[in-house]
Amino acid sequence: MPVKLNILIVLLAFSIPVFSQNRGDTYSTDEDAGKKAAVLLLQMGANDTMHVATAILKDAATSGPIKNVDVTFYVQRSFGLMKVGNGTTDTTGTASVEFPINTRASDKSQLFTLLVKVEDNDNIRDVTAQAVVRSNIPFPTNEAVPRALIGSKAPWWMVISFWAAVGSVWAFFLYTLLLIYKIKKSANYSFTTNQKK
Amino acid sequence: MDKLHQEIKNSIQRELLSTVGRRYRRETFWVLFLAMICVGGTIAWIIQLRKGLGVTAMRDYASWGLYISLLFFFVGVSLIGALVSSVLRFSGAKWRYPLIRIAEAVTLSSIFFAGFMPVLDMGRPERLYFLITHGRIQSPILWDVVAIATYFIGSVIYFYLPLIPDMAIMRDKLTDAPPRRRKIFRFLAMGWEGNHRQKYFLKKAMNIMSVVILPVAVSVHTISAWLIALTLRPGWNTSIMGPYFVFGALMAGCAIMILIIAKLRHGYRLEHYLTPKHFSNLGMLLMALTVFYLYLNLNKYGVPAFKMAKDERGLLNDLFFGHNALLFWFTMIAGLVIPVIMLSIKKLRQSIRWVVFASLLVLLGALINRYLIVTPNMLHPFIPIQHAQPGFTIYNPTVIEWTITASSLAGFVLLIILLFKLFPVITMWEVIEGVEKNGEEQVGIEDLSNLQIIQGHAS
Repeated sequence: MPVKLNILIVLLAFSIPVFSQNRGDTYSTDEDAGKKAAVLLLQMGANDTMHVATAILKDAATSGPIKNVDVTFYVQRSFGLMKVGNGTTDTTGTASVEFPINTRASDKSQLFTLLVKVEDNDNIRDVTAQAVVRSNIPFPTNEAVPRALIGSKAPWWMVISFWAAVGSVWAFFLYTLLLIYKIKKSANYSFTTNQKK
Repeated sequence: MDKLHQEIKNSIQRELLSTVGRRYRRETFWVLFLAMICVGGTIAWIIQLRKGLGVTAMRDYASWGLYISLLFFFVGVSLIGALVSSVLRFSGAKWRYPLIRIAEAVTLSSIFFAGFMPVLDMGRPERLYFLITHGRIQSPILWDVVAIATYFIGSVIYFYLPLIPDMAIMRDKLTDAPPRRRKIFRFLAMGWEGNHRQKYFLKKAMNIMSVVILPVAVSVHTISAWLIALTLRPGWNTSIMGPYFVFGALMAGCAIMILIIAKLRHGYRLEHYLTPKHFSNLGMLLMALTVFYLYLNLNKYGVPAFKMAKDERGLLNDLFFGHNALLFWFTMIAGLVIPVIMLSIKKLRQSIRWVVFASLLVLLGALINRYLIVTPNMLHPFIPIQHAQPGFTIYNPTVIEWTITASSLAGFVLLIILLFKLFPVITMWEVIEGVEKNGEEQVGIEDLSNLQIIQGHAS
């Protein structure tokens, strides 16, 4: 199946009023007092080279569009979010960004999660929407990397070579210290005890 | 060559011992000045420890900045000890005798601060403990820590070995020194009385150390090079890094050696022992090393520049024409080409001033070169930087970083000065022995039969 078609199917699946999910954003804090609640929708599209993500921000009470609000788009990565773009909603409450079509998947399922957020706005409470998107770049298979040195266990020949090299140098140092001791032992008794020849 | 007359030996010893513990007004000023910079650096480090590495300009991309650049500089400078004590020893250069202790002091001081620089670069230095408990043998960071520690211990031993007979001279001659100091002299002299057995053991120890210290010294700098060469980054992903670092280090070490002996010669009035011959010979050595380093630079930058591969293009454009172009071309032209031209002219090479000037240019170039090896490469990773937070894609060191860096350099110089407050600058017994075996001309010192104590030296 052509990759483009594949992407289109996935996008269609997720772009019909995608998700406006709670990610810990809906509970109120003191800072949220007096701020409006909003609904954030995320729609996905694509052209030949870029993904197109469109966020639509609506008033939760009136369902009317909210304009002039900054929204930020991220791709979920292992332990954090990778920013892929930002924008400001227009009079229809819409903001769009483009990011490369060859964005890598986050795991073997060949999917990645795109998030859009309204954060730290003076009038709107924080809100997040997310969509799961299929990547056209295969996730690297978890095969053993031939470069064993970056593995978790050092090869035996390296352990032996390392300790042999370090050990031999330190053995010479110790032998030199022994020679220094012999210098002291070779002194006349009167010299070391009475400090006079 | 006949044995030197005892009176001449006494004169040499008296002259060289006169610098130990003596206060020089200008030197006191420098000690106080450098100590103040060190105090400033310590305060800056405390601020960095309390507030974290956020007070530096290091971020996700340029996570190595001035501290690691200075680490490479110090590790490089430390190679001078191996060059003088080992390479010149094997090549039979007799003129090395008056330089041995100075070279070892530079090595000792620089490797001490080299060991300190990674600690400064760590936001949580106490985690160094985990490198010992959880270290991975296949990690170059572990190799580097082990190599630096080994080289430091080796340098302490090598500094001490030629000091044993000198400590005996100090024990016997400086009888009016305070009792505590005399006790230290006695302890460090190891009962030295110069009998055949003691000479045999000392020579054997020095022979062993001069052989062992060379591979250790080379490994220290090669491993430092591998710290970056084993990383997949434009500019670092090259097999030339090991020799590039080693020869750059020898060059920088030679340059700093010339500057330090010039300062000691003038400040401690050691004109009899540190003569134009030493400057001329070191100048020649510096020229050879600089020419070779220029050749390595041609390979390191010229070969990828010819291809201008996509991954290297950003970095090379930055170095050749961009943000770092001024620094890059300064290191190439003022730091390499001009010193080579200067030092290749015999008349200039025989002038101490010109040799010192050329060395200063080389040293400045080497210092900047370390920065250019480290930071611009980090700002040009293989994967392009997209939508980075402001400030992540540039590196402008903060006042805290400059202060800590300056204090490390100040500490390096201060430690050398303090070492020469405790010990004679020149190895007395080796110079005497060298002159007895080879004559003054070979050793490069002035005619000792006409030796007159320089005014202000004799006690």
